[in-house]
Amino acid sequence: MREKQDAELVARIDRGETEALDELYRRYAGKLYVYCAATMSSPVPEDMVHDVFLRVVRSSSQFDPRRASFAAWLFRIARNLCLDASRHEAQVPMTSLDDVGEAGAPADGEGRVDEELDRTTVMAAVRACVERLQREEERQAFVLYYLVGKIYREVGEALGKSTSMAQKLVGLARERMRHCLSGKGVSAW
Amino acid sequence: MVTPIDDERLDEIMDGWTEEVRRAAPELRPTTEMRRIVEARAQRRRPWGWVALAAAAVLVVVFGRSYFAPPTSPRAPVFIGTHAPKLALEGVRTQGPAPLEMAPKKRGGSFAQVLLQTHAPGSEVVAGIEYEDALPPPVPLGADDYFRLALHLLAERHVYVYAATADDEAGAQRLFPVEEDASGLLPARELVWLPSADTWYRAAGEATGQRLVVIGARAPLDDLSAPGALRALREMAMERGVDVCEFAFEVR
Repeated sequence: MREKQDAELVARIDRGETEALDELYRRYAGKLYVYCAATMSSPVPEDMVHDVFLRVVRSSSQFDPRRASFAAWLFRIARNLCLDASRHEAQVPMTSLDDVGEAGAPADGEGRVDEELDRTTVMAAVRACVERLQREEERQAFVLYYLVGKIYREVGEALGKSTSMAQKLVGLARERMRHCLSGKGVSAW
Repeated sequence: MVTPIDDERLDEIMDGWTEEVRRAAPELRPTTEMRRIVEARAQRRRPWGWVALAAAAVLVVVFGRSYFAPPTSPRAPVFIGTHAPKLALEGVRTQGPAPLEMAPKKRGGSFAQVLLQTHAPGSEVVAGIEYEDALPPPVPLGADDYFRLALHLLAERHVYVYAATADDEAGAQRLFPVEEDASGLLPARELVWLPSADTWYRAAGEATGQRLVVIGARAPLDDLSAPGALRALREMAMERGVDVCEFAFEVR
């Protein structure tokens, strides 16, 4: 259902309907932001989101829903952009997720402080563990898994891998994440 | 005591984390540039657009006939760019009208004519123009036009972009549309720094099948002025079924 709706939105963009662009942005810009922040070398994830969507808009006529879902196509473009960018950098510093907004900062309000502090701790732990996934493919697969609705096929399509390989990469990353988070004392969100 | 994390708990943690990062993102909205691109498509679909298209088609028929070379093969390489006439002279003289005579440069031609010539089905070599000479400034026929031309002609093929200089590379990146193939999943573009004609040849030689090699290369272009080099390029393209598109990225 989602795939069909996305494909229709892309077709409408191709026909010149800006409302479809708004809707597609609403659906995917946030996810793309997470992906860029977690996996890319760009110091400014929102810039990368812009660049990726600009390419989507320019290439919308090339999207073929029979070959892949829109999500897979989108993240594939994002990944290619990332690879291009990394070619220009002798050293690719990971975007520190510390710099990504003030996520997890305690909110005002009495009675919530403990809960918010816990959440901040978990955020920091997840952040550290994701960055610790050293194989780029594993990190990409792991983050994508949560952004494409936990569908291995789409993870594979986005990475240019088979579904079984995607499953394997995600499985390895999950195993490492479990260990890492347990080691940091995280047991729940 | 810390509870071991099972799959379900990990999913819960990661979903929560993902949501938090999303919430922390700045406002993300389509930019004016994106809207303009989309709106331009709507414009094209309006009736007057069809009128313009019909008029263009008439022009193509009227002015185009004499420019077509007879088809020679269904998968002949196609050369586009400033050196195309030279390439043609190297290898195709016997298969059609002398390409230099067809070149818009010699006739004060237009971009439409170039498009026409390069789109001649089966034409082995079409045309190139020295756009600096063919059109008086400030008529903007530059790298963007060549790119569109190449895309139009080779829309369904895999595209590799080779850039010779940093400026060319920047130009290639800016002119994105060539870099994704029809599915977006097959090998995407290779944007490679090619500092010399040697590496350029190697790159072209590695491209096989129906791939387009786009060359934005001032220095290699100069090297290619040697007749032997042009012949070698053409032979290589013929042998491998590679389409070659060459031009400089110097856009006014």
